[in-house]
Amino acid sequence: MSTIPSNTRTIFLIDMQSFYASVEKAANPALQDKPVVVAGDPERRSGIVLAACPIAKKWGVETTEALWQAEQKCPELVVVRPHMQKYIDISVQITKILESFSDLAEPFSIDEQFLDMTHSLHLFGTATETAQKLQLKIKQETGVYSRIGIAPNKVLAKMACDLFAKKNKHGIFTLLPSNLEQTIWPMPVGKLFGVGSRMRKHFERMGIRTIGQLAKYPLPLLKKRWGINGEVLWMTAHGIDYSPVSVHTHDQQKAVGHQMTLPRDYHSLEEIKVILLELSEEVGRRARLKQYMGNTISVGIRGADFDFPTGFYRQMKLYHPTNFGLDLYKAALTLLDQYWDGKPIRSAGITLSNLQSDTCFQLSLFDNGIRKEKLSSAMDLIKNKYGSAAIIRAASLTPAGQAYARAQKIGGHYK
Amino acid sequence: MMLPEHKEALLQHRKYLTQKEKPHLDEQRLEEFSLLLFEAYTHRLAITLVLFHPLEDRSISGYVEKLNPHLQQIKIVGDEEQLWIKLHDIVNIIVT
Repeated sequence: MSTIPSNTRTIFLIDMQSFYASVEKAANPALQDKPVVVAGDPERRSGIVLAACPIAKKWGVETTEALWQAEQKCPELVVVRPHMQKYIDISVQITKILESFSDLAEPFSIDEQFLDMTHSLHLFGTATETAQKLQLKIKQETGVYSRIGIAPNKVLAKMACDLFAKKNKHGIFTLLPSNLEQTIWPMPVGKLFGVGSRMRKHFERMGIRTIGQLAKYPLPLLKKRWGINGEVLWMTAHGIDYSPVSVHTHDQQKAVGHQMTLPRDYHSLEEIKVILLELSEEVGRRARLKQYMGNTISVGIRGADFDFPTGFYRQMKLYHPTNFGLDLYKAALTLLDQYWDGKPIRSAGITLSNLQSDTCFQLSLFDNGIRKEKLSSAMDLIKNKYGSAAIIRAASLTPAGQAYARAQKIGGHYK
Repeated sequence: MMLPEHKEALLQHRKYLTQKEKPHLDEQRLEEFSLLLFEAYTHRLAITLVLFHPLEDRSISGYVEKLNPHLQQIKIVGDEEQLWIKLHDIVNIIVT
């Protein structure tokens, strides 16, 4: 067993194994020994596998594959529809458990959380013992098995978890900066945190195949080619990361965005316009709810064929800050006109960024803000009281509209 | 990736973390409060009341206009407003 020197930090990354599937299994003991997947929409036989339990994974089922593929691999597969609200509640419950170990708990996603144990570790024992206690407590209280990476910083903790703890028997691994040469350096460069498939290809073309090769590559050359990102990856390869575990990471909102994957490919401009209008309204409403106005709008469109990616992601500055759906819609249309290649699309998203408070802002002389404000606040009032599908635009009633379907979902999946 | 609904849930949880319970005041302290209020009432002294709130205490300044022992409340008249205040909410009294 290895220990971390006392003058450094001790960071845990806690990762929930097949989170959605584990929550479903904990809620229904009859599923305990069965291969379970949580998938988009079981009735429609479409949709993808969001989470597969370890038993299903043994059959070769993988997350993000289509449901019919999974059913072909495993005939006894039990398909459960997602319950997003429940997963959020349990994720927060796990945050509360972490807070009983240290007050510095930072959720990284719904199923991964950082915990800074530097100042409270002495209350619990060694890092590994503490991780065991934590693992047991999460299992007892939520029924979810967790894997824990331990390291002196966040990026190493993440890699300790992803590359080692997930694969070993106890689900706990300590990664020390002093023996990176034996642990992560021999691994392929694609395993490094922050290296995606595109970056991996770039590196391979430069003759960098392992993390170790990247670490030994001259830094100025990386910086010249990729700027800050190149330096960050080089530092990651050396296990250097100064970012603190902060409970306030998610307090400050930088942008309000909304994205949706469409049930079928949309071909015509008319149909895409309906979607953009719905997204604009939703983004506007959420911005108003948080009392923000934005100065910059970005639109992202993805083509139907993911293997030959088409589409664009572009942004533009608005003439004046806004949080009204129609203003956003107009700007989004301008971007669409300019950049859409006319190919069918599968998903679209709108983001409002460069946020400022909506309590005081520069007034525009020729833009009638008061009427829009009254209209928006009336719509917000109705929606807050009777649900987000209580009042919708007529365009949403056309076959392209998604407003009713979206109202029942969180993150694109059923509540 | 963080879902907006997840962020919202965490924010709610954080708010709950900073909530505090109402301090339990002993008899002597309550006795002191009633003396102070009585004095402020008879001599028309300006006072500031600190009222309990789970997230952030609030203070109110003014004169004691009326005392109502039956309903356990007092009427405070400030510069701009007048309020009936429940005696139970008071956690501190400062004579200014």
